[in-house]
Amino acid sequence: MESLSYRQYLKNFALPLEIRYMKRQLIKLLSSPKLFVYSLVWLMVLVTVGTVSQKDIGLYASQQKYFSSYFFTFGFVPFPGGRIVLALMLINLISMMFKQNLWKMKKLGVIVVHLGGIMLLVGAGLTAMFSSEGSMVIEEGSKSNTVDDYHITELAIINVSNPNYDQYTIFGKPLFSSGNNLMHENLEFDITILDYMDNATLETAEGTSKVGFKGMLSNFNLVELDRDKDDMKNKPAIIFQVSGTFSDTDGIYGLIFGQSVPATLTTNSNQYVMALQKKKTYLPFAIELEDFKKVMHPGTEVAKSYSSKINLIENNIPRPVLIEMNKPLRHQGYTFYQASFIESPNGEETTVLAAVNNYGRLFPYISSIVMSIGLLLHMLVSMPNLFKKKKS
Amino acid sequence: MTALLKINILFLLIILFGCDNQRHIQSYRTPKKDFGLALQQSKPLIQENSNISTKLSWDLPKNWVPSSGHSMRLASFDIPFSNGVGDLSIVSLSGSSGGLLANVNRWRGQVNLSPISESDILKVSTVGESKMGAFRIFRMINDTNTQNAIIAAVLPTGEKTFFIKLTSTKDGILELQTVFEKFCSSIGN
Repeated sequence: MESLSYRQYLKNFALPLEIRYMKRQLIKLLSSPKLFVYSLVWLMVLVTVGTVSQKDIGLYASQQKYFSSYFFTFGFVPFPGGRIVLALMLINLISMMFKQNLWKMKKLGVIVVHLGGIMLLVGAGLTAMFSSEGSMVIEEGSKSNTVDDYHITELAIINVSNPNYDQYTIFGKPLFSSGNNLMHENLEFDITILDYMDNATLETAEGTSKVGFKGMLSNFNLVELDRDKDDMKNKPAIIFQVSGTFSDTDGIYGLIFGQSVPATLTTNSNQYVMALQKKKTYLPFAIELEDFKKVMHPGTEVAKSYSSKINLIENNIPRPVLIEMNKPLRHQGYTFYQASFIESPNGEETTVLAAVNNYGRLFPYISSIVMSIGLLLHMLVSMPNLFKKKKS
Repeated sequence: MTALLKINILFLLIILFGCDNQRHIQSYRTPKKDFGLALQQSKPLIQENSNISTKLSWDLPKNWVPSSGHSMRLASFDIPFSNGVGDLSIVSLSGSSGGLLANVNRWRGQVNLSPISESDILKVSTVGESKMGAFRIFRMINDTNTQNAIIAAVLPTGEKTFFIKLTSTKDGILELQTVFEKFCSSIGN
């Protein structure tokens, strides 16, 4: 018999054994109840830290930093954020389901409770990844089919040259890191992001050299401000370089959210409007505001209730619906709540509807029921043992 | 056991790098929308009479920035407010320059307001006093089109009429109205 070389020994026996051992250890770790407990403790820490930090950085920023992140840092030290902790808990629960000693009749209740926990976490994942919320502002007599997100910003480059339609090319906020190049087949030029500010203001550019700056930036500077605690008060701004037109159009442009004078850019064949806007979602149906009504508390300027009489227009067929403060409209996964209103000096009214799209909306309800059933089953299954112990 | 590990890794990858609600690049078409470009490009009705002297002075607010406006303009300024920048133009035209009613209705048309009659024109305006005489201010705000609004002052001096016009959003006009009126009052020879 030929003797094995050390290399062959490693390849054929030692390494597979080692890998198998590591796999087993990893699975053991992932399905360990300890992992769940530690994750739960860390979640409690996150909830405490997140709640306290709301005072300084505001609700939205705190939510993003501690709960909607994979990791966050304190100084230079990274810590796991809410998403990674919840993902570990989900994996842990799923791994536990594969344990052979769990699949016994007397552990039926425990299995059902675990399934309920998995459903709850899957629902949380769906909400975190796919849900959106924004506002829909509609004046009396007009209609809208767009929802403006409350927080997410996007850069819109709109080709307005075609007489029949506007062609939008949208770049999302994750692409706004300095130095990033944005290109699209619809555009005859390249965009290089130079700076993005979460909150900024305009200042006059007196005494500053503005060579190469175009549009608003030829007269103004965009100055970064501290982020406001109330995210709705922040005015994001972006500075970017346009290149590739090989004309006077090439240069450095700036946009600030809500600017009144539209920023334009003209190439040899097309005219573009550029805007930094809140992420727009186009709905497959439209809402027309027929009448807005508000009832004030007697003798005060405080609103008691408001309601919007709307037409829900789908496939050109209008359906009258009344949206009231505690009676939202639910349609195609969206829920429209009566959120606010605007009244012009001449008495014309505009309704503000909060539009929420949450695919995981039902999961907490269903999983709570499932977990309750599981606990009940566990109690029923354990009852005979309980009585036996008492008798003995 | 290996299957379980694979399932777990797959889950982890989906959760960490999978679907995200922010699709980063999108392209779509929408029906035509008015971005107010036509308003920016509007021109005076009547040409300036270059034989008439147009020397003016005014007290310029600190944050107003002279801009490169249309050649017909005596001066142009970019005026910042809390939500953007307004565009102010000063134009001088000979005589009564087509009449007050025609000019007011032209501005009203630019913000999609219906024309008004001569009898209503004094009702919709306010009066101010500058170093060159009285001027009349017209505010044109269309609540169904809040992106385009105008406030304009008409300052007749006999041989020519000065038009000071600020174009912005409804919010911009409401915020800048006081400073606009103050600026108009400061205009002199």
